[in-house]
Amino acid sequence: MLDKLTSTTLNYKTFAVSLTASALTPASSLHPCRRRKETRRFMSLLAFSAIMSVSLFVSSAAQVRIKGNPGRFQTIQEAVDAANPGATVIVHHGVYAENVTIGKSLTVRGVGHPLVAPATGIPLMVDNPAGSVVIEGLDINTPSGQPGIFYDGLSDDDANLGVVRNCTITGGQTGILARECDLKIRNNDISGFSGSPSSRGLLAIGLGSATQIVATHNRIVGQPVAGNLGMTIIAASIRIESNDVRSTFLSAIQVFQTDGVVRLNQLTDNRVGINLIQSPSCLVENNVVESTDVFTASMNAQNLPVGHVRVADASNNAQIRNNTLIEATWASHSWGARAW
Amino acid sequence: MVIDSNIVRDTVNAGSIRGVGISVFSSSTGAEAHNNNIEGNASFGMLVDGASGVVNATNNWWGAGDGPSGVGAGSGDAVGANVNFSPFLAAPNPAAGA
Repeated sequence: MLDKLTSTTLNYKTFAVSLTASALTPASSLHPCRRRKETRRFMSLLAFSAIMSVSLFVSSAAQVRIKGNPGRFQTIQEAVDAANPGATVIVHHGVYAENVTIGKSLTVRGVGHPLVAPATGIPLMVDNPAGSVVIEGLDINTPSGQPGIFYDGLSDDDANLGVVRNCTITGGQTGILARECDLKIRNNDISGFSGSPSSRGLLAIGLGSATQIVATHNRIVGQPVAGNLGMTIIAASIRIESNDVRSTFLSAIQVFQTDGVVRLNQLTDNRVGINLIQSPSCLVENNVVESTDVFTASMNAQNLPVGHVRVADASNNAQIRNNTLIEATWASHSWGARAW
Repeated sequence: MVIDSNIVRDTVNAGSIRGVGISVFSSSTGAEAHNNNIEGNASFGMLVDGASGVVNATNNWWGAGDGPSGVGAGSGDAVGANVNFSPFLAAPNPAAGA
């Protein structure tokens, strides 16, 4: 569509220029009446040319549209506001220095990886939508101290599954923050997050087993800064599968009061691989946990033994099976998975 | 808590902290570990504190065909007290691991 629009733009400009050129007939060779007539013609052509230029400028600069709607918008927020519930907002390649808030059921689809990069605040906020919101194909540069995407379901009352997929999120304090919502997080690339006292690639806070969090095929790269974790899921039913989490300062995957499955993840160069806390019904299987870092003596004040699998609450029903936990060595490795 | 068919290997000692493959502590009664390949861990393949009772850890590979060392009589990874390690696997479990 954009290509077609650009092509049309060029044709219009060519047309305007050719008309303008044809109007530049040597004035001295004309009769005075003919000269006045030619002048009026020239002025009208000039005005037409100016009008065409303005309209073409708007068309070519507009980067956002609503699928099935001829309108064009300069910002994502304008399109979101204009869209009806259930619509798809198409965001074309470009840089959008804005904060976007979505409060209705929508799909926001990036084409050509447009970049959302506000100077301050949350780049993309989903605020208690009445229905599902799908965010896909966006690149997001997150200001310091903020989440890149904040999906707030406010009590999870709509029971619809939101989706964040195929996004690249860098910087900020949290890549994706989900609160009280069902969310499917797939195939995102999250990195560069840091902040005090903690920072995470993904932080999901649910309301118990009714909250569904599915995180699959994401790549999360942490940093060697205090409080840095790959993902933390609190009070939810989970499926954490086929993610690549590496280089975090603390846990690659931390789940708290959660049930579900953690499987097929590749966890490399983290201090702790998988940390189950008060999660008695989790199944942890087919993960590869390697090169986990050492817990320091101060963090292990009771001088408890360091182990790959550490059990301090065996009365629960968690199962740890078919994992490969390797390469725990001095100065760079310690717990592969622990459960308590 | 069931720990089954994992590969758990190559922990090392870190100063005063011991490298242990699987540790069970804090009155964690009821843990079971089976069909795991446990080897190359610097201090213990499995360590259980006194308050956690006896852990059923039968049919694991301890890194040697003659079974675990420590409390055990073999030459594999060491096990401490309160580990029921017999019978043990005489060869690694090919189905273990991811």
